[in-house]
Amino acid sequence: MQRTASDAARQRRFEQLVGEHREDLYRYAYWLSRDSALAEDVVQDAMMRAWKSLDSLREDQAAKPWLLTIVRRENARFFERKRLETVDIDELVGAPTLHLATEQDTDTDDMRAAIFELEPEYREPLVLQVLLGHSTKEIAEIMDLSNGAVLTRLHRARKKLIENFDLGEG
Amino acid sequence: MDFKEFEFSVLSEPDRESDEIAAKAQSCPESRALKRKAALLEQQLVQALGVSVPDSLRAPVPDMAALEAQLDAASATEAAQSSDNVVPLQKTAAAANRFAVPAWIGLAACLALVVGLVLRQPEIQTETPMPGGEDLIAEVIEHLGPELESMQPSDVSLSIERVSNVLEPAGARMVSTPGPISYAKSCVINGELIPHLVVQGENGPVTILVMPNQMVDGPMTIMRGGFEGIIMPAGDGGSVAIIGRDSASVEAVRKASSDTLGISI
Repeated sequence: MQRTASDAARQRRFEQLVGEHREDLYRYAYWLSRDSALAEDVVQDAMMRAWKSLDSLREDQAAKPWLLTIVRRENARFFERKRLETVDIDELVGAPTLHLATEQDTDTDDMRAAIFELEPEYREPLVLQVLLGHSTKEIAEIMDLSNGAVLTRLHRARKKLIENFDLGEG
Repeated sequence: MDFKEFEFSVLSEPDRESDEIAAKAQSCPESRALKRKAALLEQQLVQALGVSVPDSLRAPVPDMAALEAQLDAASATEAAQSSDNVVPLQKTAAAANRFAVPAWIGLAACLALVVGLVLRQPEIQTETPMPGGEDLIAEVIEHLGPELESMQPSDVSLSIERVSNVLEPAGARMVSTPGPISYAKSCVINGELIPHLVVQGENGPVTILVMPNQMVDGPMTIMRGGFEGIIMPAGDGGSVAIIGRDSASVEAVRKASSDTLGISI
């Protein structure tokens, strides 16, 4: 297949916009799906979807929230497909695999377990805020919520974690 | 600032500093203890959330055009080998040909895939007579008139749960959608409760009406009252109406989807 200059330019633009965000996209997908293999699939599918609709992205600086929204939808699509295939989702994610960047220790494992136990609506804004550094307003846009709803979820998420996790301060 | 307000602020935005927060922490031991706890929690959170990334996502971005071509070829092969209980694109298109509505043939087939609504045999059969043809088109158009507001471009994206709740009573389920669904409500057409969805396509909103018991003989075009679209057979004795303000918006919904789905029969 002959590659045109326009194809090459499109590929370059895609690499610039998507390349630097791929790791964050994976981490986001991981905490949505709670499974590393699923997260990898979700990100790969999301990249293809982003490629196909690249022309719809008008402002390059909006690339990251645009991509996160695509990952979010891909993840939802995946779980919907799995539901229709009558796979037990709890079974599917019952034994989550973790690839921790830091050295594993008991506290980290316990915190990880506590985060996993959070309801998805509490876990997701926490990931967007703590891991990906998004502001409340940005989280509200990605999750299609009001600022107040985001703040309430973040508050509840941390409150649950504090209640369920021994922070070891004696 | 009382303790509840302090707690809400510290646990929702731990990095946010203000004179009020600092003063409260200074003057109230309980608040001070909470702030310390919140700081410890943040450290633990950052560590626990730090997930390493697989090598495949550290490698250079692949040639996306080549990858797209490969995936398209694989999808085409898969579609050709699809099981017998799924109506393939070509089969629906052939059915459309018989009713001589060429402009919508391809679109109808593709939209069926795009919409990805699978109708199953309803548990309770309605005794509502099937109006068919023009009567059903008139009923649909009459229904859409007052609902025009729902057919506006929107940033709203309803959750799968919400959409599923609307689809379920009609015995339908969502397999895939080519875009966010901004509107999902149960409406009445010919005395039957039917799911009414609006999908935000690339070129504009498209309305989808899932009608489990409104049988049509074949695809019927709609070009009336400023609407364009089609009503096509779906499921076992039902139909789906797919309607936009112009053919471009409907076509965009078709293009937006790369999923290979079918309508089960």
